[in-house]
Amino acid sequence: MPGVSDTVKPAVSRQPRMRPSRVPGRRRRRDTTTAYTLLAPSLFGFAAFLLFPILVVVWLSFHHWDLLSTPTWAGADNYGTVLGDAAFLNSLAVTAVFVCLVIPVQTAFGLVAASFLTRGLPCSAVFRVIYVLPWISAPLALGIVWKWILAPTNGLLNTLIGERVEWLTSPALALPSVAAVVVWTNVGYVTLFFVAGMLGIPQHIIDAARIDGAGPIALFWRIKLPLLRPTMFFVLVTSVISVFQLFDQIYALTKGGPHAVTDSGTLGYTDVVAMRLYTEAFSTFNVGKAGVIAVILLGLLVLITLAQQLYFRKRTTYDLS
Amino acid sequence: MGITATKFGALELVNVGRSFGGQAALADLSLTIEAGEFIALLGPSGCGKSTALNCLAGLLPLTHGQVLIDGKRVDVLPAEKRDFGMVFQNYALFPHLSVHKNVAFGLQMRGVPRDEVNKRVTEALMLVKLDAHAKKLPGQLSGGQQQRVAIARAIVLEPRLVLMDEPLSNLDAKLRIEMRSEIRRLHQTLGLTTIYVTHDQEEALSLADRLVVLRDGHVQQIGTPQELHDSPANWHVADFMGYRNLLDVAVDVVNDTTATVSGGGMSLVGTRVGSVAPGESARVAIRPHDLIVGTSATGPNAISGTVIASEYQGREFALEVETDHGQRLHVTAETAPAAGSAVTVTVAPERVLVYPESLTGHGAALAPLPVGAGAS
Repeated sequence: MPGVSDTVKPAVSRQPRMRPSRVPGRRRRRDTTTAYTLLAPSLFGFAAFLLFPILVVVWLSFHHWDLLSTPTWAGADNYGTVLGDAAFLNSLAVTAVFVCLVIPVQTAFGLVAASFLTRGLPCSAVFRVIYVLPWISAPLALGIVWKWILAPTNGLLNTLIGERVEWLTSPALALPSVAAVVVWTNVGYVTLFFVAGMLGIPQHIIDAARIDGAGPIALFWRIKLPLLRPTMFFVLVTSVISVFQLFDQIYALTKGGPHAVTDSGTLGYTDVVAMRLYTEAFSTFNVGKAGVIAVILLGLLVLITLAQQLYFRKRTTYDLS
Repeated sequence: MGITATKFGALELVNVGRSFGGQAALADLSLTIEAGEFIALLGPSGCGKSTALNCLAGLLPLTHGQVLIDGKRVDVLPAEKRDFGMVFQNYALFPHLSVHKNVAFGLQMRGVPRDEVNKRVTEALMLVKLDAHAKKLPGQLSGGQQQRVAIARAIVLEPRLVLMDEPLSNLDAKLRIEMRSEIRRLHQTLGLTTIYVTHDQEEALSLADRLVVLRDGHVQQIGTPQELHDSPANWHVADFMGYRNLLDVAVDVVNDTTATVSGGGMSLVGTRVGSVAPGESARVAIRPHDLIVGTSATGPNAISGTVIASEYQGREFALEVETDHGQRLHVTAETAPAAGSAVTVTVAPERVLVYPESLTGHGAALAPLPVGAGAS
């Protein structure tokens, strides 16, 4: 187990003339035991809170279960049902549109905000804290606050504009409204990382670009943005995952609605995948179907993350250190 | 040759100064630079030379003073509008762009047509002998190659002024000498006007037409390499110009051009530089090469001592000699007496420069030296 041996190198290096292969078996076993003991808390956390739930969800996806009766083997039935379910396919489409609305907008706002916050303007540090406040607040609480702000009657926004607008119940406005709330919540998080990324760009590179004639816009597009690729990769991966998994705020704001009755059934205009998963598990008690949705969601996120990693790996060909 | 420097009449620095939190990093630098001149700003770390360069580049605003080109103020322009090129100590290449794109960047920022950009970039890369590496990223090049890219990036703009901030300090000794010749060649070939910051006196002497020696933000002396080498205006400049033996002494007798001083158990007759009076403290500067090792004490400036260390330096030896009164002297000799040997070192009076101890009166005119004094 070379990796484990590496971790206990100091113990071995106390005998500099001894080659690793000559380490006595008893000592090697003791080193391995020490290494696993040190790793145990992390391994336990990984197994208990990540691996085990994933395995349970996969197991559930092959069973029929209503939370009360004993689970029964369903084979691939649940997968067939979910993949042919119009509500699930609708939730995939809604999620895709939602991601397309939220990610570019919050990334753009984050970049702009970070550009201002790294200019050394007065109170920059205060603004950095203010920007992050929504992100560190409870999403459900924020959802409730925004539900009041966007309420058609006596809502703050409608009161300010002096017009009744159905922000959360209009089929055309519900998804953009929810997306706006999510952008508002996440933009501080995104900004925080872009600020760190921009501050990590060596000042002499910025100076060199300025002397070469780059104004603020060229400096941003031609120098800062390309040098932010590692940060961009991290931000996009974590943002896409968080938006795909978004549930709390949608639950608080629209509960997946407004709904449209179609030949295929009732479809929600803001019924994202996580909302659908919740509905299947805790409204219709089809835990097996919810398990399938969770497995598909996991697979999608792994694929998207891999694709992002491949894209950025080809384009990050430098080292700023 | 396509690339040529943009010409101007004169660049003037008028009482240029920069302070940080009330502390002057650069005080009242005044200098007129003719087009095509190579000026070196020389001094130890923290003397204000890089501050001066950054102020000129527009990367730092001036606290006071003006920078004028042909009578027009340029210190009020942002860095991107000054039409200067700059070579940074750590190259400052754009790591995500190829060598070609790095060099092309400034031209593209100036809206030069694509064909012209390609032509000039190719010329610039050929000048620095890097045309074969045009498609590589900076990370794939050696330190010397990266610095040549940085130089190409500066000269391709045909700038009015090229600023170089210790561009060779990250290179090894051999490469430094090669690059020094390269910089001088480019400067002369293209007729560039260059301001070069360094703490290496040898580099400054070999490259510059004129040197500006700075200390604590104040100008100590401005002159040609020969003027500074032969006639340092004060002991600080002398120290920088290779006068490694700086001895604190008291002035005993002052004549027209000479002074007799004593200190550390020695009595020396030297050449007076600046105003010293009997009874005052002074500082004597002697080059290691001017101390002659012998075995018998003859002449006015004979000092007896013991060799405590010798270091082989190729054609000569660097000796450390401790006088009978404990004063250590740096001596250069063609042969090396064994450590512990008793020796006598002598020095000609015209090779002993006697300076006032105080460095006040910064930027004063070059102190006159008698004919023959100081030259070695």
